[in-house]
Amino acid sequence: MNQHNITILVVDDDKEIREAIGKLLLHEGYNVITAKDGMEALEAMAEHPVRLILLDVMMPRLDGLSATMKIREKNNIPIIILSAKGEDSDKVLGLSMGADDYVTKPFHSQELVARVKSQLRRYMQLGDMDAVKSKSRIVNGRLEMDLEAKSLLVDGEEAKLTPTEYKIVELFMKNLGIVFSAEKIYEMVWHEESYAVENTVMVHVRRIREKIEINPREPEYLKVVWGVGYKIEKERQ
Amino acid sequence: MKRKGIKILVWVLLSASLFMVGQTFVSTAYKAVTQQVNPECLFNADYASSDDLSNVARSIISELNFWQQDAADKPEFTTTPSLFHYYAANGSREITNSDNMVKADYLKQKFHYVLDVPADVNGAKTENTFRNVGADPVGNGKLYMSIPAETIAGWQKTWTQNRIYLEHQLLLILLWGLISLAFLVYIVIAAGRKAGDDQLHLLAVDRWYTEFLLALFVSLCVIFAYLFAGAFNSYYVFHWEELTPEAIGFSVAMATGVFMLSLMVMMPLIRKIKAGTFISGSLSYRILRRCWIAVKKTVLGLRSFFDGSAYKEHLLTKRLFRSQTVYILGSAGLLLFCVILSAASYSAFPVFLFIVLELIITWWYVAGNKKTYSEINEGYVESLKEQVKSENTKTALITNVSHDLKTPLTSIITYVDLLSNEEGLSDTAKDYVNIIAGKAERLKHIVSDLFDLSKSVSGNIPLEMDVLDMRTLMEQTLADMKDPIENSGHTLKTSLGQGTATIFSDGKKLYRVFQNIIDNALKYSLAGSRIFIDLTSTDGKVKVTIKNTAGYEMNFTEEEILQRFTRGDQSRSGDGSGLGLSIAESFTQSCGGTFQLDIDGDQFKVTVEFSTVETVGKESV
Repeated sequence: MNQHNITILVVDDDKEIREAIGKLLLHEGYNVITAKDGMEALEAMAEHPVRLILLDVMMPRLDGLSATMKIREKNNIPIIILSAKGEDSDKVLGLSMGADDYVTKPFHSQELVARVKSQLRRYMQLGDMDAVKSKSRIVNGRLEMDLEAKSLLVDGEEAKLTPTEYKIVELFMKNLGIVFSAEKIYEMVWHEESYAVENTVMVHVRRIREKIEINPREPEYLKVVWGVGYKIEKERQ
Repeated sequence: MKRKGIKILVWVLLSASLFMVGQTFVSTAYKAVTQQVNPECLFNADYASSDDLSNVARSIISELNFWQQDAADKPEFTTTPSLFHYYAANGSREITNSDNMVKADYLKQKFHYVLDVPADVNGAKTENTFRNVGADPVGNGKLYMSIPAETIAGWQKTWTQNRIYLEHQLLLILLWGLISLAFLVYIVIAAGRKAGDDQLHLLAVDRWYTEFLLALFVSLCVIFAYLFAGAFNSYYVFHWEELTPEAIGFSVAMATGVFMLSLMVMMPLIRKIKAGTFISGSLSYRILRRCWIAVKKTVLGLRSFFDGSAYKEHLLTKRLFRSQTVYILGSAGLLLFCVILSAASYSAFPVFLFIVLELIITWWYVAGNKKTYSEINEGYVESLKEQVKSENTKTALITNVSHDLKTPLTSIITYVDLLSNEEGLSDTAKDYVNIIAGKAERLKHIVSDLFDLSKSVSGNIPLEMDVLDMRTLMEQTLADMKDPIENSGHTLKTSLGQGTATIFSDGKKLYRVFQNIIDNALKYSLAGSRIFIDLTSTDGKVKVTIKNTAGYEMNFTEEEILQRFTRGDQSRSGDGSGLGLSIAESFTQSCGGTFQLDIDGDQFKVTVEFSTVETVGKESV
């Protein structure tokens, strides 16, 4: 993928943050243009072929959420919101406004870069994704499971899962959003009587997270439902 | 033998002995009545001085008197005439059973009654040796009567026999009576008691109203009396055939049965007395008490109804109350005044006056209240606004400060990251960059913790409450923290028990709670010491305790450690924000649980407690 042709728009009212993110992305080989509020962002989009937007929420003139709504009126390029607000409700609000991802400040550079890459990859592949959609495929956000090939694609790249890990992910992917207790998972994957299996299951869950999540400590997909069990979150559409 | 067996036996023996009392009494009484056994013999051994003899003499004399007054019929004596002598004259006619006896012969007998009434002699002369027999002449002729000594001797013999018989029977009755009494006393004492304890054991029947039990008891007593009296009545009232001993026995057995029944009914009453509920367990007591409470309430209600002291502190309502009182009293006074005036003057004018004046004070009352109401409303709206404003300010403050802190922090972290990737840095510079990176990371955690805490404490934390299993949550938390636990060098002794401990809470927050507590224990425990984690589920409560031995002297109190920013080691070195336990406490409380911290010497103990909920429709597969 030739990243020199990809232009990313960074919008933040804080000059230093704007520049820092710009430098990070330049390092990765992207073209970067910046804007210091929502209005400037809309203007910049009109002038440049922007492929992805990093958007702060709290900005003067036009805030990030309103800017997202404006952009979504005519454009479906990936929007990643950067915000100091970290509550689940803030994330839900941002995503429901049309953003594709939500990153809370302060963030880690590597995580931000990984999320940018992930969004770009999905955006680029969107065209042929529909073509290969079939019964033997389960698609959930960045995750795509091929039941025949017994493989899991994360942002289009195959994740190297062990057979047990694959079976666990398969159980979750076939039952998106449904919570399974450790005992149930053990019985359905290992086909054995379960006894004190919380540790075993948790170890696998953590290994799977390393392979499918951008930030394994704040998983987006494979989640623990505390006091109940585990599940893979169904992507909001 | 068990106490219960003894009780039943005593009941049987009691009914038997009561039957004996009844049987002996009735048969004796029956015999006394039918065979004319005079109970007087019990008190007077000498027949000669008895009332019985006097009665016999009186009866003979009065029969002879009847004959004297109306000589149409022969006298009919209740005593066999061969046992005594008599002579009576009435003018021309005479009657006697002893033709060869003269007056002197009568006077010779020890027991005699001699009345001589000659027509020409002034005053009659009576010779009488019987006790309690009228010595005044009642007849109008001669009347001689005597009872020979042989007869008296014969009667004395029967008298003595009867005396012995009655004494014997009475002794029997007394004996059986005493035995019954003893059994009865035992039953009364044993009522409600059981072997082996001093408790009073009440039955369901003991909760019946006292009146009901009493009514049952009394009616059974009446039936008993009726049946018992029936033993005589059947003979006396209906003059049926003579009572056989079987008939008496049957009758007494019936009466005894009824008496036992009434005794059984008495038992709950006795237990009630023992338990002190005889009065309080009665219907009338309850009704009276209800009435009393109602009266008291009404009186108190009326008093507080007209008591304005509650409004003393509040100017506006005080004013309302005052005008209300004035209005009510004024209207009442006006009405009274006008009624009296109207009655005195027989005119309709006072009614008209009343209507006009009443309208005026009503107008005053309503207009005054209207003003007060609007003032109250203004105040209420104002205070609501204040409240919303302060709530908003609080939330806005947290959000803004959070934003203002996080924005420079983002720059620091990002630039440090850029700097560390810069080439050509000296080793010293790289070290410095690493230190800055570490501290920036710690600052990030502190800021994050600080806002979690302030949101939680100010009640601005969103909760996702759901049904969850505390045991599963603990297992998951421990599995999740496997690496830090293993790296800490401490051994965890966990005892989570079996089964489900379902609670209604926010699982994510609870995970933070236990993560923080365990983290704290791992960090500050004595090297190599064990950490104990226990979960118990009893009486609708789930309790999780985490105990550890501190690796340093804990020179602070439970309150101090929970105060924001107070750190266990007070020197404030190392990592962590020092807010872990405060967050754990605040989150636990937000999630509906209780958080308790105990410091005992080097022992550090945290207890988290939640109420369990019924397991209904658990959503896991």
